[in-house]
Amino acid sequence: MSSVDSPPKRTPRYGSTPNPRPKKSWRKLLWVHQPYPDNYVDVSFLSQLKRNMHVQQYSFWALSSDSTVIISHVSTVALFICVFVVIYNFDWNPAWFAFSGSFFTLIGYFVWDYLGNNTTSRTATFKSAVLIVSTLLGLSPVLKSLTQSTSSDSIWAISVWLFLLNIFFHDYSVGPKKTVPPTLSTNLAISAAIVLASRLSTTLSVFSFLLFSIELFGLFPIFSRWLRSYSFIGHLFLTAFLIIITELGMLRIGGWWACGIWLAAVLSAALIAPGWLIALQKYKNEIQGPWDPAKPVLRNR
Amino acid sequence: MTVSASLNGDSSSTKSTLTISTSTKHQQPHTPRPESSKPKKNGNRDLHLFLPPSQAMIRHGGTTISGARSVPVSSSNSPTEETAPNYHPHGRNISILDATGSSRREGTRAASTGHRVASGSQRPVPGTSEKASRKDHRKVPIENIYRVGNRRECIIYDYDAIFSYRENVKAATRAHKDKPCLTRVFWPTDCRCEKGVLVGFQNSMSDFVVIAMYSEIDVSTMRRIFSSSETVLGGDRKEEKMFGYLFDTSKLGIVGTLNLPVEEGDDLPLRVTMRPGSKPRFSHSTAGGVSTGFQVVFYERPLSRRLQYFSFIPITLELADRSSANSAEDEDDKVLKKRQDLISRIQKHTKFGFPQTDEENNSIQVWINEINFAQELDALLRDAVAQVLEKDEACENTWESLKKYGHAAGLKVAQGLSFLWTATLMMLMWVLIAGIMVYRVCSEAVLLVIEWCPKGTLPALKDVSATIQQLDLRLQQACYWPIQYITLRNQKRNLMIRTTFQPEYIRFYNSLWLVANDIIIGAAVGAYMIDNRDKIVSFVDYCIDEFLTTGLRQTIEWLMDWPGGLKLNNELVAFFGELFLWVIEFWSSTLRLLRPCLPDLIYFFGLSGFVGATFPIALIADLISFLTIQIYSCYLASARIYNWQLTSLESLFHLFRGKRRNVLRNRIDSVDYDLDQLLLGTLLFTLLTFLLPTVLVFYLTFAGSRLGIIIVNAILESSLALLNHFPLFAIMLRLKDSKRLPGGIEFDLSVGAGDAGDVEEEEEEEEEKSADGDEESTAAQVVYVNLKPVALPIVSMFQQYFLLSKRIQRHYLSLRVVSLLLTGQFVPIQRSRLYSLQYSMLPEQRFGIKELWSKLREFSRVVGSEFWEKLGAVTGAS
Repeated sequence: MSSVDSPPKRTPRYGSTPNPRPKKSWRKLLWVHQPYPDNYVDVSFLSQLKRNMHVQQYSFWALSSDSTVIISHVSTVALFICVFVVIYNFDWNPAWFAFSGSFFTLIGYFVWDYLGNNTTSRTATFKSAVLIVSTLLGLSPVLKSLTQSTSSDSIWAISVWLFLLNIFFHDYSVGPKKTVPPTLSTNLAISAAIVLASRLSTTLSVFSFLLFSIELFGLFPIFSRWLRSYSFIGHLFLTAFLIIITELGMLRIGGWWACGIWLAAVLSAALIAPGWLIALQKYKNEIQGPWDPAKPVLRNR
Repeated sequence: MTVSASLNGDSSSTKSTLTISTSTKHQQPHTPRPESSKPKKNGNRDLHLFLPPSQAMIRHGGTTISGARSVPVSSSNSPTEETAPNYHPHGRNISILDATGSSRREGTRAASTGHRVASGSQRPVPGTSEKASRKDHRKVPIENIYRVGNRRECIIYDYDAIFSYRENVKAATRAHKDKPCLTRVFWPTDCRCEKGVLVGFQNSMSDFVVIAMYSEIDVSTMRRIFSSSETVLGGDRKEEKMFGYLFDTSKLGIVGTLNLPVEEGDDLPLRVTMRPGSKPRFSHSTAGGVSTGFQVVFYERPLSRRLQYFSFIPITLELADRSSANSAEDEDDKVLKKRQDLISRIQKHTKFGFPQTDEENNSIQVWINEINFAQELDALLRDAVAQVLEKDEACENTWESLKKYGHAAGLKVAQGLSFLWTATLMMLMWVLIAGIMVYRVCSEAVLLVIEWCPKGTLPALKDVSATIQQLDLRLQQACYWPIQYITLRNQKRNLMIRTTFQPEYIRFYNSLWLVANDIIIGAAVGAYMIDNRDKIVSFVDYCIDEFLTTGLRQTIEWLMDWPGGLKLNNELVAFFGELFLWVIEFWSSTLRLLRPCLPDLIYFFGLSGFVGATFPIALIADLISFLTIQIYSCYLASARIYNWQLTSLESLFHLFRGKRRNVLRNRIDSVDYDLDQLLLGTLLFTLLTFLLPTVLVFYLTFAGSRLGIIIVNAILESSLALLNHFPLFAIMLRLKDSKRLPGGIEFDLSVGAGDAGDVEEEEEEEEEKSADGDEESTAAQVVYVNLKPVALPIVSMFQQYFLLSKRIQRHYLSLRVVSLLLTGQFVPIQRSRLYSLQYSMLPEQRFGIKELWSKLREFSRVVGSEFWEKLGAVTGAS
């Protein structure tokens, strides 16, 4: 800066002396000296602003068909809870569930195998099946007494939290990429099942219940994902089948009330929620402009 | 009034010069003053330094300036007054308080370096204001001590000024090279006020250390003593070998005269006059009369017979190699060393005062050494003088001859006694040597067994048991004693190299004293134990029953029954409970078998007390460890299980999240697990999580009881450390005669009541003398400084204890140990570290048998020759 003793220079100051007629038009360049004040905003400043460039227009039926994925998973969890309540409160034999579960699992495996999607060898699958079943058999006495001294209320609370987390972390994406469902949600469901199983009275029921839970949470998601990508009609049939079974379970444990509420929930998820989403689309307000980071454009082969 | 004082270590090269400007009075010298640069000429009551002080501060770590409040005093090399205005070319005065800060007052006692230098002078300015200023002097408390510490942050702020000052000093030094400005004289306080010859060292043209004054002799006779070959110090210098490595014998000689007329000894550098009750006054008798001032340092001659000495460095009580080895072990010290290294590197890039030459550093060491030998040399010279005088003149007086005769008789008695002692030693020596050798071989065998490490990682016996550790310590001490004794004896013959002799002496007698004490206390404790054997036995019985059997069982049963509402896994609790109960039951039944031996055991403990109180204590510590083996094993088992469970839970938790630890890159990767892996992992994870509290409860119980046992043992072992290592002898010496434990030196400005008058008189005299009006000689004055030894502070005698407690704190009160405890890992107890204190008085490697043998043989030869010598003396005299 110029000191006191040096003579003042006759150069115009940009900020302090406004010039009524600037010679050059303003350019959006910071590194160029321009005859404008620092806080000057030109009319052209936001000319490149764009809104809602990439907003997708949803169709109602596509949305509702996609929602069947969620419905199918939530129904699985609900079905499992129904099964536990039926065993714990109404003394149904858990072996029955284990048998029917294994039966359906075998059918599903053979269908899957027959349609030629099997990448692992049958002996390896058989081996791991044997391993898991025998481990379960060995551990079920320990598991039975695991939470004996804990009160039931805390067990219910734990399992509810675990199932909620499972629903949130589940992988709902469509596509045949992964054979194994994401680890965390499976683990959460299995540990919820173990916690619940430790409430049961006999070793055999613990074993059967855990076997059923493994089939439902470990193997069924693989099958349903495959089916979804293989034939959508099949997926719809499977979902309908699950809904019906869950409705039956609800009817058994909670009467018509529970049945009605569940049906209403399913229907709202399938029909009302997509409509609501589409109605909310008009509030969408995305802003794009040249200041955004550039997006690479990938050409499809 | 402008005043300057100078700190001067050596005359030969540039030295830190402290120029102090002060107004007449300073009441609050330590109050920091924010406005530093330009003090008022008058009425400013603070002490000010011109720029140079910062250098003084830097150079002398813990410098004390005391009572500096007057007239210019310059060193031989520092510029005299006429050049003084040039030191501060910018005319800048800087308050001492800005440079030093009030913080300097604390923490600069600097006992570690022991270096306190005081300087200053006292002299009224000639002129009209003389009387007024003298009045002010009286009011000023003498003990105005300014400590200049080694805090460097706040010191240097004007490099350019400092360096221009430095250049000025250099120039002035060059100019005055041939004309020393200030002569420094060390003057013994016990110098009598008679006529006589002064003998001492002349270290340089202007640096004297006066050793003694001889009144009954004249200069020429004294010269004869120094030049003739018959006397101790003259001629062939039989003792030169002895003195040669202690000091430079060529410096020793006649330095001046006291109260003698001018014509006698005219060529001697010092001419001193002293009246009774006043301080000596000096003048140069050398031609030219260039001297402008004297700095007189009074010192009290350390009595070598009483093992007193001055030391610049505090005496170290532990062995040097030990202390360095100990410090090298510590990681913290490594960090410290690194930091110091960095600091020194930074200093290389910083302009920090003057570089100090070796000569400067050593000069202080040189004259301290000379002062230390003053008394001994005095004795030797007195003998020589007496011899010469005897030859010169026969005894005139009967009284004199009687005195001499009595003296000779006393000498003869002493000779006879020392001969008797040597004779008995001579007779007993071979028995002693044989005994020592037999003992040494036996102890070597025992030591080998004790220190034998079985292959692998098994610890040696002495690391397991406190008793054996104690035995090891005692044996090693006893092995070291003969060698220590021989070394001491040899050094005593060699005119005492006190700086090495005294610590060795203290160490030797300290360990002897401690052992004696230990035995005395031990005898009392042992007798008490034997007398009250029944009570002790019943108490031990009670303890075993109450704590080790019933108490433990009850605790475990309580754990098995949902302790405090904790929801433990019933089956696992039952399993653990049964297991631990079985172990405890087994051990208590074993103890039941041993119980009949208990009275005998206590009796044995009591007996062992007669070897030293440390042995019963060590035995009790071992007994406690033995009785609580079951707790230790339960602790080990539960800790293992707990730790295993924690580590597996950690890896299973990673699996639960779909992650896995990558050991190669030391990070956590995400993985796609197979379904069966996932299922199994989740199963185990849930299982272990629910079982964790149960295991934790058991672990905590046993860890807690183990901790209690460790604390009890630690208390016992620290009492062992106290008994084994307490610096008893050093403390006794400190109380008896603190000069035997020097911790440094201190300079103090001495201002006596009658000084002003003295100085005045002297001045007048000088003015009379130099009637030609030489300006330099009118500026001459004398500064009186007292040199005092500083005793070793008691705190530093316990340095080892502080070190140990710091080390223990670092090892056992750290976060690392807490985390080890919480994760159930083994917390190592490093016995060797704890015991390093105990061994600090012993050499790292014990002396071998061969070495001991050769030393003993040499010793016997020495004693033999002594015997013949003394025999010859006794027979020859009689």
